[in-house]
Amino acid sequence: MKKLLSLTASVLGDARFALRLLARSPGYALTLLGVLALGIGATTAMFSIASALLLRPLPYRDAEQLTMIWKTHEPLAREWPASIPDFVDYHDRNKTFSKMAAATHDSFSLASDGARAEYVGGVDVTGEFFEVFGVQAVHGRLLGPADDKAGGPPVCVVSADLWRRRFAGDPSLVGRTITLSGRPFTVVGVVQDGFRMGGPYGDRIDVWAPLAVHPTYPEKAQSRGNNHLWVMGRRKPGVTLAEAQADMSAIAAALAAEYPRSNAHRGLNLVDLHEALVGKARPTVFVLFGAVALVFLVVCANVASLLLARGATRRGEMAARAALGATRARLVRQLVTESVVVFGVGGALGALAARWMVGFFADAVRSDVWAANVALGVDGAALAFALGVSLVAGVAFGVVPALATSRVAPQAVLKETAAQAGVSRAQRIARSGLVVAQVAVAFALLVGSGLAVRGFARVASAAPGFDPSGMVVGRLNLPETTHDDDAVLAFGKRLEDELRRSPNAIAVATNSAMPMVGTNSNGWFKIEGRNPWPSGEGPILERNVVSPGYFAAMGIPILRGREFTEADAKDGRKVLVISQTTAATVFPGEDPIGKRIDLGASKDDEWMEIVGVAGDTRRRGPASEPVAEAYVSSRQIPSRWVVVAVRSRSPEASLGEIKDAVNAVDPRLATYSRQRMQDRIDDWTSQQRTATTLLAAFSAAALLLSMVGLFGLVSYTTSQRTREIGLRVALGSTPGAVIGLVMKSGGALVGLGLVVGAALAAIVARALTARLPGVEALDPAIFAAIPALVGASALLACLAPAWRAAKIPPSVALRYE
Amino acid sequence: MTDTDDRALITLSGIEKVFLTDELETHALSDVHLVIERGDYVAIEGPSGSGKTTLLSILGLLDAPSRGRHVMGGREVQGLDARERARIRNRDIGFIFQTFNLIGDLTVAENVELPLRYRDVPAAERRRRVDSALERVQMAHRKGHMPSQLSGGQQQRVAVARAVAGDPAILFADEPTGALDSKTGDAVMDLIGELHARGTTVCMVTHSREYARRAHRAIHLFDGRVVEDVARSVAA
Repeated sequence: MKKLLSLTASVLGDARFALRLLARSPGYALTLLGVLALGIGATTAMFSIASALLLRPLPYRDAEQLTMIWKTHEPLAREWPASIPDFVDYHDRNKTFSKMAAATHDSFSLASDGARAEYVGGVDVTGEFFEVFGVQAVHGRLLGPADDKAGGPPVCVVSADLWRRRFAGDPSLVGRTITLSGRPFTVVGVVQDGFRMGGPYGDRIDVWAPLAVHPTYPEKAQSRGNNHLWVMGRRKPGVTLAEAQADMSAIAAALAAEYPRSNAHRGLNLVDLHEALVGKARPTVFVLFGAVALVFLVVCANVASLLLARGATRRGEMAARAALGATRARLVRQLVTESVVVFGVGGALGALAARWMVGFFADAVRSDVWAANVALGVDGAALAFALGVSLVAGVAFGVVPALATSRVAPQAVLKETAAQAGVSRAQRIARSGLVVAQVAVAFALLVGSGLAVRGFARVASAAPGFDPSGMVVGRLNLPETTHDDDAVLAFGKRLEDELRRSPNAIAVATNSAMPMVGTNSNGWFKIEGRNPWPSGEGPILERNVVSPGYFAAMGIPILRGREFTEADAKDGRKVLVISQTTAATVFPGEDPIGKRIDLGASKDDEWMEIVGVAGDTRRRGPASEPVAEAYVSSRQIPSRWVVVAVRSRSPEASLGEIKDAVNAVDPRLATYSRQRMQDRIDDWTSQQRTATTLLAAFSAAALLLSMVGLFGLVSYTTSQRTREIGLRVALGSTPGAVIGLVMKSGGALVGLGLVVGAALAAIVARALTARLPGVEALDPAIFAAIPALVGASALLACLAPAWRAAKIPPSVALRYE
Repeated sequence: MTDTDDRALITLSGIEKVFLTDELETHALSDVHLVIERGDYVAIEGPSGSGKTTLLSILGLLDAPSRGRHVMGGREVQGLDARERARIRNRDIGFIFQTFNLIGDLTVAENVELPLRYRDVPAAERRRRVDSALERVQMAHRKGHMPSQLSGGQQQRVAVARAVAGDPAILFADEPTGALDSKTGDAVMDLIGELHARGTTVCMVTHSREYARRAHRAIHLFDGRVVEDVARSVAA
């Protein structure tokens, strides 16, 4: 015990000395701590994000029991929704779930207190929805199985956020009636703070209503082919995911046997809800975490170089300490303690830096994160991580400088100070090794970011298949309760006319599922005169309901035939436009014009004649490949889901005009997602853009740090060779030869760094290819350009010390001590 | 005199020191035989390159001889490892260096305390010894100062305090006045003389004939060999 106390006191004494050293050299301390704070801050911030997304459970009771139940249809998709009859069977037949619920998106126009209608995100949910998540009401009650009865009273639960924002936190809201998309709903409760869950694609939900009270419920409840429910469940305690999977797979097999027309080849794929929500963010998180870790290695190597450089000036002190009785182990312990103190202080500053860095980094993953369900921030675990990283790195990267600095013969204390202050061979080797390591890691990171930039450029420059210039879009939904098919048709015409009246409008069009904007609607189809594909085995077509003139307005070329006109009326011949991919895959080598297709929208055959072939669009984002699409006219088959597009002379003005036009045509309706089309396209690539930008920033920082390290080392070794260089000059060496001499020493280190870095770069490239779209691992341009960039940077780093050496007059050099 | 003689503090027998540099072999010390007794005040003299510093390094266990026998306090020390040599330096030897070798980032008191810390002396005892040592060199009033705030003479007094704070068996001084002006050098030599008068064994390397004369015994080195070892009457 006494020994432990003595050791503690001794270590604390060393720590105090370390702090004093820092305080006495503010420039050195600022450099050291600044570099460390950024390195540890970035690492901690990325850890916070990785921890929140990948390690921390969802903020619900016994969250590990929460399960996402995807319907599958191999090989088309593994993430499909289910129909109401399917869900009822899943719910009633399973033996492994204590609670199971389904949700479907149902955005609302909220009108109340005479205010203009406001869009609010909503879902229709089944009775056990809130029980699945185990959340509580802060006012009133939540929905339960008793509310989810067809023909029951329309009730709803609102989010705490909406309650405060729209209703000023008035508790009397419970029991009051609000109007959602023209339908009256009685608010029965306010759910607990932070709960915005609506399913895997339902983020930031404000209103939950019972599925069974929806007007279309009775019809949909009869159709096993109408898949629109996201199914989630809470497994019974002790039931594993595999056991639940087996249970549910058996149910799917039974349903396939019982209902082959709708359920043949359908399975069920169970995943943890946490994985379903954030799994897609994992590749980006891995890439960025890996990059940050590499930058941190460079930071540590840089700091170790600084400690070594500092150690070179302390050889006299070390010799004196050794002469006074300090053993090598004691000196190493002191130096490592100093390193730990430096890293510890840097870590504390880094933890502060991480608080704002986390928000910045989160933008790189946020589009894949259901932010309302996952809190991103620096918590206790992240602080513990920062502390742990600081201590481990302090020891790991303090040992090499400590061993090198403490390698001093005690008899050196009897020699002149200048001799004591010289650099030892061990220090020189260690510093060279650290510079090589920094160059290698910087090279690998640069290759990685170069590949990412090129990949992003490929994605961002991919033609979307339409012309987004000057175009703005807005979305709205028309409720069945207030708009029958005729009303939808009339609304569409009036809205288009209203928008066309604006002097800003160049062209106006609508689509139920605009590329990169709207929700998708797809299904199987039949071709007249051909045997239908076996149930569930045929190709699917993306369905678009578009207004006459849509293709011209969007700038989508008509490759054959024609597009829709007002002449394609409701009672006329049903016509269809297909995409280029549809023509190529469904009618290879044939002329599709005049052929007829049944999209299966109604129970009876409804043949629609192909009148045109349009160019492909990248429906699912700039990185996506075109899919087979079919277009029908909104004048023949109206759609309640509307995306209105205006090509405008003044896009900013048109954004407001869309809102005003909808309000003028029907004040009960609200628009949402109004934005420029180009911004919408950019949104698809924003995550990759941010990730790429961060990678570029990380690699630039690594390059800068490694070059600072190289500069420091070459400067120092050159100053150590001043006498030798002076002698060479005196003997006739030219300035050019002196510059070459210095450059050669730096060049050797950089060359070695590039060789080591090439192996690391190959690993980085392979990792990126699998995780970022558009990246080609063996991009010759990158593998040629990056070594050149590193070489040029190294040239600059070595030039100053080389130039300084070349300017030394031989007389001064020979007097140099 | 034998190794078991109570008065013999250090005995060197047939000591040689060879430095190897590339293919060159330099004999810094050859066949050195020497006994330093308790209470001696020895001056080691000789021209540059004669081996004075190398001899001091070996005597002070800063370096090990290539050959020969080195006995200190009755114990053979020539084969000890670095750790054990460090322990003996810390407990039994005090050093005064030409360039003081105070640690610039430690206060006067902390510099004096340093060898005691390495010895794991308890804090209260350390404080007592530091105060006592600084009193002896009349630097107690500057204990909180940094070395850079002191004159050269004051720094060397602090170095003397550091050397004696651990109550060593012998004090080695390497050109203790080499970095000082004559007046300050005199004061430091007076201080060393006082320490010897109080019973400290002193072994000093010096170029100065005047200061060498203050010692009771002079060992003259030439080309790495002891060429003269004489007791002398002390100058007044």
